[in-house]
Amino acid sequence: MSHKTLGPLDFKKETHHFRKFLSIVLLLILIGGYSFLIIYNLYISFATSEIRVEPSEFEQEGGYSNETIAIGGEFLVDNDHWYSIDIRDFTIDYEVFTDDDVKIASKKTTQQIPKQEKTKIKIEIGLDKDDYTLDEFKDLAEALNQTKSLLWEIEVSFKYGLYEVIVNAELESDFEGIA
Amino acid sequence: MNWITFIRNIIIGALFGLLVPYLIFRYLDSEGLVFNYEMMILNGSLYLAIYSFFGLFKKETALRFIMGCLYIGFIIYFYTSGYTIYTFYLPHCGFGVLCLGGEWEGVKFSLSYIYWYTAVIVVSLKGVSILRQLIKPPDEKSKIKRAARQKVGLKE
Repeated sequence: MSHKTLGPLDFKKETHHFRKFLSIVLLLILIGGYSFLIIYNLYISFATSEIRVEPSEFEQEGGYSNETIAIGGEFLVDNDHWYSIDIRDFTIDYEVFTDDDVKIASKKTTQQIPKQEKTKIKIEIGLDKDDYTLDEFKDLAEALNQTKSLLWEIEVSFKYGLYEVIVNAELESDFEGIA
Repeated sequence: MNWITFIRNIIIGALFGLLVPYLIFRYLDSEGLVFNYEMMILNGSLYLAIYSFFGLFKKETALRFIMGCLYIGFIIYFYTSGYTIYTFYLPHCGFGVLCLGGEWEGVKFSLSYIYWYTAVIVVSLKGVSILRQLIKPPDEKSKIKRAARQKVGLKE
């Protein structure tokens, strides 16, 4: 390695003031950039920590019918603190199974959650006889009749400011079977 | 050569690359269920080696600038594989994507936190800092020290 490579670069003397000016500009960019990062991250951390997502009980809706089976419930997304910002693309993507591992349905719901509000996200699973063969529909009805619980494979994702959060979980909920 | 910064960086690298994560995560996750200790030690050792080596060169030299560019490359690697001070020692599964998984109170879960915008800003600011160190004219104190060293025949 040459002495020139290891030693300070030989800039022309005339560039001294320009380099000084440029180094001050870069210093201001650094101070501004790191300040923005620290303040923005603190703000987002505090704002995110106030968000709550609560699922309510899921149950069969509308009584028994030979034509349709309907299961419904809702998620409550609480984003109503005064310094909140909009939650973008709040998505619930789920698959539901009986306790015998029979797949009931899968669905994806996306909603925008406004700031300073509590938002209810309705989850409705409608099984229509027309979408299945007669045997398939009977099997589904039988499986729902016998199950004591529903198993949810759920993915919740949302965008908050510059960040995105994705949570996957396997949940179990009590279920009142078809009477 | 800049031996003082080299030794300072060894101490900082050993402290924040190996000792702090070892103490914190051995306490939080003593059975190693969530954190990958092999990766933590590998990345911590890499951080220690590179950061120490980086400190060996004087700020206003071309070689330091080139090493700085390589150092930025490693920061990008750290933001991809995690387990260093830059990523709060947390596991990652992509550039600026934190991934955690496990079982909590009987519920299996996995969590992804995507923050690559922040990672890009930090890497860019590090680049600006390294560029600034190259072009910033040495202050009067440095000039006097350098002149004194040259006078007594010490090499830069």
